[in-house]
Amino acid sequence: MIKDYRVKILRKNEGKFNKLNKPNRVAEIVESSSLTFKAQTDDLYTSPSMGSLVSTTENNIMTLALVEYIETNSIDPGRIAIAQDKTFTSSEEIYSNHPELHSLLRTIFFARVIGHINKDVFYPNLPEIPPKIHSLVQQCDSHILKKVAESKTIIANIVQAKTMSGDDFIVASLKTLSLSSTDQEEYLINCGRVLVELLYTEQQRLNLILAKLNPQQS
Amino acid sequence: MPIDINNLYSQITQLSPQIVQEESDFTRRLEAALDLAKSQNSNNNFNLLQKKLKLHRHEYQWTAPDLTAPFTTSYNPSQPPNDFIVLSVDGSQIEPDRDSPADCFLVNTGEVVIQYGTSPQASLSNTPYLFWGDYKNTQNDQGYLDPDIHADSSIIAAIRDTYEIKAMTRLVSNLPSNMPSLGILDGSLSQWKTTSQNSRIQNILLTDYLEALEELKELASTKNLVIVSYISAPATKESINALRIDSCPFSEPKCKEHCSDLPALSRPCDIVAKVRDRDVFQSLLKEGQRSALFNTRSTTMDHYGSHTVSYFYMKTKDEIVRIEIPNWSTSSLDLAHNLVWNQIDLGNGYPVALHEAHEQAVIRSSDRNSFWRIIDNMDGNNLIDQGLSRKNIAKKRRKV
Repeated sequence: MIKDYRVKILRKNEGKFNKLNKPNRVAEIVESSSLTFKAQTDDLYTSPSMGSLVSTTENNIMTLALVEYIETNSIDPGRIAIAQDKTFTSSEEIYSNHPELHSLLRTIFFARVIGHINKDVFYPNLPEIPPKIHSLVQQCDSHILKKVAESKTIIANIVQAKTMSGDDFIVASLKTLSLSSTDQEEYLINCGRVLVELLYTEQQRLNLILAKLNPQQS
Repeated sequence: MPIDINNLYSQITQLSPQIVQEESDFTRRLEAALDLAKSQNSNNNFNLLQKKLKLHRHEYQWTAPDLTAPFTTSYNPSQPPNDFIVLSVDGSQIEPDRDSPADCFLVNTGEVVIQYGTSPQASLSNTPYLFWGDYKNTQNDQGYLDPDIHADSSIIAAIRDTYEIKAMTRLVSNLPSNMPSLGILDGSLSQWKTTSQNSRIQNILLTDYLEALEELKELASTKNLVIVSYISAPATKESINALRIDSCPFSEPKCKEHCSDLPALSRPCDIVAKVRDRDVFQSLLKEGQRSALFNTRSTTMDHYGSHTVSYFYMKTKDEIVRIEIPNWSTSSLDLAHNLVWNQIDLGNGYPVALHEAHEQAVIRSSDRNSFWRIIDNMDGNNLIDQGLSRKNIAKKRRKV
């Protein structure tokens, strides 16, 4: 069956074959800088959601980042996706009739670096050296999430980051961090208090962010 | 410097009335060809033509196929099987750079496998083969030619054809035995004809190609597989030549005896001159339909034995295509038709798998530049010591 082809192709390169068994792996870095990295997911449309906390580890330094932007596009920049046959009635039907799309498209995400962990201590500043290209990216577990969420400066870091998703990045990230708390609502209320201090000169922006954090009360 | 458009424009305007006249002339010839084709509907006419073609083969000068059914015969496509696989291979090449110190060339094959049905999935890849020195392939020691013969584009194209067949064989080897499958290649199934006059080179190239085909044939016999090649907008007049013989007023179409003194376009059979096969089938076929099978008698197939091809025409959404099929695959004609049509339908007029194989195979100018950069810098950075010509150096160091 076709799976044989994939395995045979993968087995030509041991590093690639190991990716099948790598725990918690979600992506591989394809661009890297001090502030952000871009990673390609292993499968189409399997990116961690916006605001998720991800990490990559090199020489025992774990770089931590929050997903700020997700995109799916053609692997080949010279080829663009165009609408398929109008007779198809769902995207599932399109993908079923065009299996090659999984090889021609890719999902990438950009992640904003918000700190690093060295010897089990979280530092809310950029690591000295950005991660390497082809480093593997994992989704962080609750233990790491808690360390980051308890940082006194994390909310300010998030607010100061100028990202492609704008204030929605702030909302998504804070909601992710609230998952580390036993009382998520209380955590978000505390976030709101910090946001008021940080954004008191930007009332309209502040109101919008607060409304997005708690839509029921907007 | 830019081209002299004013000069060119005056020449183009002179062309216009000639084109109009030629169109009118062509219409007349096409109508004659269609009349002849439709006359095949009579069993008697068809049988007579079949006989004429066979009996007098060595007396007429035109390469005409053996007919299996009248020209107007057509077949509708059916639904493809629920589960099936399509394999496709295409190739490209980088030819030797005369100004480079390294005498080498590259063949790149694009390989695609797409499975449809209950478990849709796809695999797209490409494999480059570097030929160096005496043209032994660096990977598997094949393709030895002659160190004194410079590999021109026709020799490389012939080698490429062989490697495309080998790539297809590799893909076929992993096919499940029972799943209906189509293997589709680009261009003709006959190997590219080299322009080299060296008969030893010609023999080596053809032998390699036929050996590759034989291996494919043996493997294909163990699978539920049909192999075809796809030619878009073919320029051939092979089937029309049969209509030439049909239009011949002489009971025995002995061209040398009857018409050798006549100039071109004034012989009786020239009533269908300039008409191509695809012009006729454009009118005879509906979208998705295929024609009857034609068994080629082209002399290019003289040494092909069991690998001689037959062909049929299909009408896609907006063109006529020629599908060649080796004689050892013709028992699966319906499978070929249905799956090729499925591919054309999915690809909005061109087979999806073939398109992706082409995309995998194609070598872009940036890749080409990278290739030569790696080759040229292989032994260090001193361009003169490497034997690079001054022309090559000038090309690399563009300056004002």
